Amino acid sequence: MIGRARRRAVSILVLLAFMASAAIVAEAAKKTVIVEVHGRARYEGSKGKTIIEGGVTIQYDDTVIVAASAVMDNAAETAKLSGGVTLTQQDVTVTAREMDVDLKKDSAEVRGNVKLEKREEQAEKDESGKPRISIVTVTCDTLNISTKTQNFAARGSVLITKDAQKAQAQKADYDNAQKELVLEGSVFIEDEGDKSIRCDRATLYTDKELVEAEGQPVVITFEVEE
Amino acid sequence: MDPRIVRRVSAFIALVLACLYIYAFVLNEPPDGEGESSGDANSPTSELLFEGVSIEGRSDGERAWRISASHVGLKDEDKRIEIGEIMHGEIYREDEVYLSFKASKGIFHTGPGRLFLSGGVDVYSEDRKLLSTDELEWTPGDSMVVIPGPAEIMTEQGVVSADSLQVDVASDEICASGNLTIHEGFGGRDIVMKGGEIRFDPDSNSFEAWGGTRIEFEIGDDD
Repeated sequence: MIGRARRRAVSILVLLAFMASAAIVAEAAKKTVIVEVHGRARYEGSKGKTIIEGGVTIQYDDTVIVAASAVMDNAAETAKLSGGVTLTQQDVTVTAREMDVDLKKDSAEVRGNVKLEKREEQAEKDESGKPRISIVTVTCDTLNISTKTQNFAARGSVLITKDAQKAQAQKADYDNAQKELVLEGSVFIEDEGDKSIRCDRATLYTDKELVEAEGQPVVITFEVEE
Repeated sequence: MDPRIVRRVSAFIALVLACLYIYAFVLNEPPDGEGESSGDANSPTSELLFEGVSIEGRSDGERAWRISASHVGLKDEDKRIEIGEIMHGEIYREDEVYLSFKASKGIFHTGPGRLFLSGGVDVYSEDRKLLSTDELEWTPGDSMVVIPGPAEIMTEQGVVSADSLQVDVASDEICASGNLTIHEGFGGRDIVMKGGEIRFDPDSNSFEAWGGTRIEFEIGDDD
């Protein structure tokens, strides 16, 4: 009799714990979006658009997007921003001519004079024992970035600089967790001292001075002191 | 007993009674009609009470409003007309019905020519319910309908709550002040518009905001 009552009590506790954790997960998945309209906004209904002109700032989580104008799709929860756009999230800043933001998917696609700057802590320490900071810059034609993971995919005339290192490729895919930037298509990497690598595929690490080159052939050029 | 003492006591009692009479019935005389039954307790206090009537207000010679109510009381002293249970009212623009309404109570102040409506005020535009509120004030002279308290705007796509509203009868504009909540306005969730100036266009069912407006809404999974 006592055993049955205890089992029932444990079952209820487990159920309550499950319900509480489900509620916390649901709450965590929600986020508040704040749109500051500096000029004029026109809201055309829940199935229409919200048109903003004269300056807009959109904020959600730790992401801040500033643009001259925006057209938001009220049903699809997306926004097209134009007239010069800046996205800032933690240590990443992206500037471009225009941007499509999917607020549900936490992603943004930017086009036109795209420039991404990422402030990266290096594995290497400076003289005071603190991690050295490098600025990684990516310019390209189009860039897709996840504001959840900070992973990005750069396409078209990709140019990457990090300290004295410069790299060119047709496309680049970045994994923020691994700090890996995978370059593909006519890859050319230049380093200080006229060292260079030509290959089909290369992996750069944004937090350390390491390049892995792949493909047939890999051509490495460097100067030899005579 | 000494007859002189009896006379003096009698004179004193007579004097006290006379003073009480003067105090009670001369100095504190009740006004006419007070204490008499005032009839129906729900009827407005009035000098003249009409039941089941229509009244019409005019501004600069033009018809400004017309009201059909269950009872109307005229109170000349306060220069006001108390209107009870307004079954149908009309606000006119250029001699044509612009908005119609119903309300529990109305007071028309004849001096400034101002009409107050209160208690479940519903405003209609061409038979479509446009606004709902508890208080509304209208001065035909300046063509402005003022809703000081919370109001709901009925749009084709849902209900919008506003802290306060102003309807400009002349220019056909509805302006909101304070917070404006568009229910299920973005991705099925509520939008709150704050600050700046916000205008509702009933024809296009759209809102326009300018002058530093903040729009807030939630996104993400809620299931």
